[in-house]
Amino acid sequence: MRSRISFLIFASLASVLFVCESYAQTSDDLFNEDILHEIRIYIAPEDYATLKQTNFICAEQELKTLFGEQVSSLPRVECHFPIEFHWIFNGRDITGPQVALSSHGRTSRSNVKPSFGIQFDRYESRNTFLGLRRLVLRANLQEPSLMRERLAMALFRRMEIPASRESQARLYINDEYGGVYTIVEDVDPVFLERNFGESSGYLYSYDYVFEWGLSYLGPDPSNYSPLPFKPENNLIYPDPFPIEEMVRTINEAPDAEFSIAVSQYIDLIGLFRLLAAETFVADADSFLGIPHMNNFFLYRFQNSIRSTIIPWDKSYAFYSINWDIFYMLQTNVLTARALTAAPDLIALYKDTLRQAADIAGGPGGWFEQEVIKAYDQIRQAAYEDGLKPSNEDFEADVAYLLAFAQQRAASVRFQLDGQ
Amino acid sequence: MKPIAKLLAAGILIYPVLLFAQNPGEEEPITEGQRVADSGPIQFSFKNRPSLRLGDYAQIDFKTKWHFDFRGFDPPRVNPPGVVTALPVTPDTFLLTMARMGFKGNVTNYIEFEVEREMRRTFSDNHEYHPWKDNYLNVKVNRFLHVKAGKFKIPFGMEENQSDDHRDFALDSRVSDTLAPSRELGVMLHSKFLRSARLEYQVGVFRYDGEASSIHGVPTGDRTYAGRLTGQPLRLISPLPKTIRHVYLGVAATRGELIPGLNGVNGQTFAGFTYFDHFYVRGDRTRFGTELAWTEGPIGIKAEYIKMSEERNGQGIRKEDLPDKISRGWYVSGSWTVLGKTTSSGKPKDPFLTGHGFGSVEIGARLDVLSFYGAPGGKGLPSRSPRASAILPNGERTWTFGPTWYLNHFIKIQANAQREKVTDIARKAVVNRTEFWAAVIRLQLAM
Repeated sequence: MRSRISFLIFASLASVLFVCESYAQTSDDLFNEDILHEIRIYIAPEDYATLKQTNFICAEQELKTLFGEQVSSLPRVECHFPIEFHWIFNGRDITGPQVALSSHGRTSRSNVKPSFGIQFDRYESRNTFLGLRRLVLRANLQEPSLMRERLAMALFRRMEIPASRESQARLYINDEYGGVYTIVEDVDPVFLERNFGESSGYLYSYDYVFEWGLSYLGPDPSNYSPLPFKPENNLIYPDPFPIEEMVRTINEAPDAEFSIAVSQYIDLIGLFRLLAAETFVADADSFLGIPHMNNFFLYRFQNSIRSTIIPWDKSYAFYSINWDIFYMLQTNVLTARALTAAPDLIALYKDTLRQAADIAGGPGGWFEQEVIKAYDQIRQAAYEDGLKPSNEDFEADVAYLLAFAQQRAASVRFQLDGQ
Repeated sequence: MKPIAKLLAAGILIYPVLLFAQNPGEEEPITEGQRVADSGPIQFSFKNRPSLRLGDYAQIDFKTKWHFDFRGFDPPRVNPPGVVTALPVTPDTFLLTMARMGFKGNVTNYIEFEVEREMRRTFSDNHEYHPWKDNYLNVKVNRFLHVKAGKFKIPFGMEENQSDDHRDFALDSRVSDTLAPSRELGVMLHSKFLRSARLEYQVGVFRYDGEASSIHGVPTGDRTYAGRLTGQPLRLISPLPKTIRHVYLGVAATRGELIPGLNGVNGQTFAGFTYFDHFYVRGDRTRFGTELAWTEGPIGIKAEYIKMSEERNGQGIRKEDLPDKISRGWYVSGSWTVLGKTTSSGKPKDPFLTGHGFGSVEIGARLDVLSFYGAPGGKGLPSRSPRASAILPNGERTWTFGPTWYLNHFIKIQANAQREKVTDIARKAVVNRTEFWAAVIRLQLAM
């Protein structure tokens, strides 16, 4: 009798726990790469029409204002729109009722298949969705395989480099299929807390507005921020002075003190590990991109002048299987000086490249398995996505990624061993 | 010409006029009858302002008003009007906030007119969406019916309808600034009646909803009807104490059709930080207001209450009707003339420079409270989404205080400090603070 009562209690508890578990989705579930998610957004049709009308104007206007130009507030330009956000997970509809949507991107904007910024906290700063404040729904228009972004970030995270969590989804807009999108965790206070345990420092996104490789632009802080380092928080007191000091030190510190002097301003170990990872994935549009820096965030820790670099946008990753692992180091003052003045950092760079090669593996390795998993997952949805490049381009790009996965590690090892 | 040079030029132009204006009135007062009799059909006078008189047929007065403001803010950043900014900017300490010139006069006893234009853009880079101010013709049909046509203030709001140069504070109440409609093109019937109670009615129809509710100068409301009734009705109740019977009371309302879109009235601090965004609206915008003023010797009290509702028909994300958006506010202000005496028109009896006194000094304080919220019936969690069914309320509570030194008929100096406290700063994480301070020292030249 006692055992039956115990069983009943246990069964009841188990049932309760199961129910709780099934109702307690987390952001890890949303970024679960093992499944193709389903996201539905509902937007007033006139708002969606306005978004397409103002899509390019918003980006242009923002850039002009960052340059300090006097931009008239007429005509009024709306760039954010209220939507309902629905994530369909395990048959459940998890909803964010009043969420802000904007068009995302600078040069990659499209009215055919726009990328979207989703802000859960815009209309109430305490609002979150599974603890997230913001997401990006990336349309992946620049890459026919639709998966380069997620693959690169997956490798970074596997190398324990702070990088956005990502997964992919079928996106429906007012119940019409909008194509395959990548769900990207934005670099925001939630991301910063998760990766660095703090979020009250100064966050800047790097905006590629002129070709620059960290050469000294003079003592005026406005040469550095709000462009190219665009403040993402602390807008009333953006405090760009440490950026000027950082760039001056990178340029002027004596060789003998280079690492020590610059490391006051940048987490050099974190940076060179990231540079190695970006080089491994042959990202042509990154910190060491062509022709110069792009696509990263700079976060200056609270009550400190020290910053760290956070990667962003890997649409141009996997540019070439035999991407030179040293050539691009010459394009940036910091890395060029490190080549001669900081052999320890270059050694770290090489070690990290070798680590990346080991993690990615060759034929049948982890990275190839990731490509195959992503392909199997999104193939049907991608075929139905009439807004992406053609199905032939999709297949060809996936085939190229498989070749990259099989050969890149060997290419990197060959270059490392040839040194 | 640089702005400062333009200002100097303007000052040089105005200075002799002011000096000239000082003398006749004091040394040899001229009555209206004397001027006509002594000088023939065309006369100039400079009693309070330059004036041209054509016998009994017409009179034209030259008017000008200048506000030179020295300002400070905490936080020391503002969002300037008229431009889109990436980041709040550091404001200039000096700002020319008013540079108006115009004419006012009458033709016979039946027609009055006024022409007034804001000239700030001529003398500075200051922004101005609506440079033409009061420009109207007023026809006195009979004792009980005057018809006013042109551009003038919609009859709503005591503070808003008071001349800018006669206001007790350099900084207007946030309530009037946000909710009162201000000027618009229209036609109005008005007149005083029941003289024992000093009642006045104003009823009009206007092209749009007023310049104050426009966004970046673009109207947000279509044809608007307005009505206002003011006076001292307690005068009719003779048993009341005399001081109570002199209380001024008023009631006003407007109603007009909103231009559909993101056109709901928003809430901003004086420095231009938005704490309550525009909402999508469609339907009617209705205002209701009451006003009260009382003066006894050196002490004065003013109070006003305004409620505005804006319909949101079909403005949900899925086209559903949403409960009205409500904006509501009130203020109470008190003033006390601590030094010197003033006339009933508020001018010092013993003027400085133009007379032998020091003018008069008044101190004042004002509390105004402005709030935004949704009418009952909203579904879901409150949000500040512009299509939210249940609107997350927000508002601000503002204290304004400081002295005003009325030097003479033409010059006054006001020093105001203003503290704004936003009730729900979580709406604007960028600003990340609840208190905003502004201070203004204003030199006003007006005639």
